[in-house]
Amino acid sequence: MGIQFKQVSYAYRGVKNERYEAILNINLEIKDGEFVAIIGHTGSGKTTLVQHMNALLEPTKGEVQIFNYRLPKKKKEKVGPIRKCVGLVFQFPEYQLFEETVLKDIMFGPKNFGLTNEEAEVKAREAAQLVGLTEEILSKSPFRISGGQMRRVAIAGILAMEPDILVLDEPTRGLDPQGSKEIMALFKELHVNHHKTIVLISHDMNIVSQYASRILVMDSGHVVFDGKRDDLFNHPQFDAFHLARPHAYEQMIHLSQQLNIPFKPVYTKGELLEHLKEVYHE
Amino acid sequence: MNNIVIGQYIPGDSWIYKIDPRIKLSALVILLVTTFLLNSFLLMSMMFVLMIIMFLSSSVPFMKMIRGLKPLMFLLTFTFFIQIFSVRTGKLLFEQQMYISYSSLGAIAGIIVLYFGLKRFTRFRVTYFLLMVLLAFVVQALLPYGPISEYTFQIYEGGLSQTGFFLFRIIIVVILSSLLTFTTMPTDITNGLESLLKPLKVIRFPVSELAMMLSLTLRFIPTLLEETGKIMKAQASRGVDFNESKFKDKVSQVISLLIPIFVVSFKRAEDLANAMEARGYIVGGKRTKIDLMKFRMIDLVAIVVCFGLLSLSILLRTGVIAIAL
Repeated sequence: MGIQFKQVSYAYRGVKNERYEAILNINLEIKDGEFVAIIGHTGSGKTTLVQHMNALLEPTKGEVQIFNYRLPKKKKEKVGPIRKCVGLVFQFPEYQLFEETVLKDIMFGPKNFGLTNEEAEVKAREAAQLVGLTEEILSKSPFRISGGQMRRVAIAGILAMEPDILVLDEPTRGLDPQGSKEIMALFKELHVNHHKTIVLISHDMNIVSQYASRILVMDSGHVVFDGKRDDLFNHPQFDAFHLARPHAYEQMIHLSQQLNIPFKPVYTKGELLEHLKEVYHE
Repeated sequence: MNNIVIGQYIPGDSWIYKIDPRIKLSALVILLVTTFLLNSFLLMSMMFVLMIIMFLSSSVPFMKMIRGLKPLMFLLTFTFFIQIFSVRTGKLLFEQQMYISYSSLGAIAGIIVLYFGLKRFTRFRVTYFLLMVLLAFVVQALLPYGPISEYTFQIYEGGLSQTGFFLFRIIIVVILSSLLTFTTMPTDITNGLESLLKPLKVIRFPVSELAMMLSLTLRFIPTLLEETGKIMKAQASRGVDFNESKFKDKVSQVISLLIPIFVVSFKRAEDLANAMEARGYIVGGKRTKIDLMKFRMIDLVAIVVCFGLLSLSILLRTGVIAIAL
């Protein structure tokens, strides 16, 4: 089932009530168990798109189906159940922390969805362990830990609600290389071992090409590409997307042009090295 | 979040936009004082006509002003009835026997229910409200069945002019102050204020710092609103929903908004302070302005007219000159 967009448009209202179309006529289906990356330059409508998945925005035209729920919702229908199924982690999620201790903050989400204190604490501890927070940190104030830790706490706060689909808006932004590597490894683990569907917004092509099984490219409100990474980076109109290629891929192109090494799509240094070894031994 | 307008400034290009903000601020004060010095209906209505002319020539959209008066509608209606009922001087203009009876009380209850029931469907709420109030009095005159008590509804000339006097005074105050905010940018107002308060520097009152604080506050309202919007959405995805939760939960949910907003604003303030210092801002230091306010002919005319009105009203009040009524 997952999430389905049917002819969805969304327009923001300006000061004089004029319309700004943020996304236009989106048709999209995200199936269970996918790892989807959404890329596109700033202002292309990525964030607007993912906010529909969480019922934070309702389409001004068209329809979104999330499991058995439909948006726009009927008048007295509640959106709570949708938000329990789909966890959305915002950009810079550390700003949403507010409780006295880290543990209490992670418990906030589950408690909002009707769990008792004890149940919420169990879930919170599980989530904390999943993101790699130690017991010692749980009793600290969320304002007295490092930025990377804060982000883990915020992500744990969403994971504790046990959503089936996890939507991440630039989760690695503002983190150091080590931190982003660890966070991405965590999402990979959630995807593989916990069978969560993951939708990821990112600007980092290295991350996108390494982790995502499907890539969506957005440009001024439209989905201009939807498919596998090999097709994307080989796309004849790739330059029109205004995107960069992963570092290893760029180097591969460079080597094949300069030294006539046979071209093969590679996305990490390791893959590049393997390919070069193969070529060398032949 | 995009449709929040900070301040009420409406871009435009009429004569009133060209007046120096300092003059506009002083003119507002002078004209307000003038309005409160007037003590007869005739003078007040002359002032009212003058203000209407000023407003019409300022090319501020008429509907904007009406919208500014809307929140005062209840106050105006209330004043109207109090005055009409309490002041009984002058000629009797109108008399009507009114009945408080089971039938009329029932009808009033019906009107109240009808008012709240139909409120949602009408676009002209103020007109609708006034209509309903009027109807509530009409039924008192028309339904004498099952009487409890009765009274005579009388309108005297004095009551009517007194009512008009107060209504005009309130409307003039609203027109004057909204004309200032409609036609002057918030930054201009703070700059004007700073310039006007300059003499206070002699007694070591921190005028420029105050003006800086004011303009920074205004500058950061949209930023903080945007920030608040983001945090609200983030908490909404953690299950906070103000429409769908019980009162008990709402308290902790409000806290989940307030604390992050506080944290963000402190962080912003700290960053801003550093950025200002890095660019050479020193508290109490001498600063120059990129836009210098110039005193022009139009400003002179405006201030002379205002002072003229003020002195005229003082003279009238003290009885030095009198106009024949």
